[in-house]
Amino acid sequence: MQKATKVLVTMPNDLLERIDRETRSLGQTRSEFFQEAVRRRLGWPDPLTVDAALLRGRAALAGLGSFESADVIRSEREGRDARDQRR
Amino acid sequence: MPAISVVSDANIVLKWFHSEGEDEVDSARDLLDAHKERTVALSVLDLTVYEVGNALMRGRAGASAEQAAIVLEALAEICPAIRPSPDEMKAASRLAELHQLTLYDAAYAAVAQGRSAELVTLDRALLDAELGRRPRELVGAMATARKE
Repeated sequence: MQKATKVLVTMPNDLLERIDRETRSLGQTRSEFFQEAVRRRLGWPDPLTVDAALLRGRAALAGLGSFESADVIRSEREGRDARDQRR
Repeated sequence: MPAISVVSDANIVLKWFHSEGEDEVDSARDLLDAHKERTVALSVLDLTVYEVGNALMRGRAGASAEQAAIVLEALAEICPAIRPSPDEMKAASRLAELHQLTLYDAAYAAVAQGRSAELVTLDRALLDAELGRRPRELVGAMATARKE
């Protein structure tokens, strides 16, 4: 995953209380809440960033061979579900 | 025209990176183009990261840890991963029971419904339950809407 950096942010107490109420109701941490809010504010990623990420990902999987992802994921989900039911 | 919110199933995410032997690769990747053009806002679930990584490393794909890590890092740069809220997980439980789905399947449908988004998938169980749409169908509907 990408590197993350801790930041110190100052905000009014009443706003922080609202944020904490919201994160509790969503079951999120403050960090997750801020990341989601900032992503929404900043909008979509830069198309060049998307292209570069796709190129890296496709190059990594080049030569992996033939498979249908729907079958692979279905099999993985059913296997996980069967293990959960045995617990 | 406002952007359409689309939650992408893990089986569609894999098609963004892998094409050999895959159905509907072009449509799955058309959604990425629409995301770059900002006519579609793609997202995945936090669960998707584990599903994609597990399918690559432990399924028949046979990818290495390094290959899986590169794909997962790339995915994080492409679109946000949503963590379902407690209310969405309640809805997922109901959908799982109603349609005899695994909770993993139902979580995708519940998040899409809860956020007024389309769920794009090639999962047979989700399609049979009419909880998601095939990429080809969604891309076709978007093209038709643009013409109108």
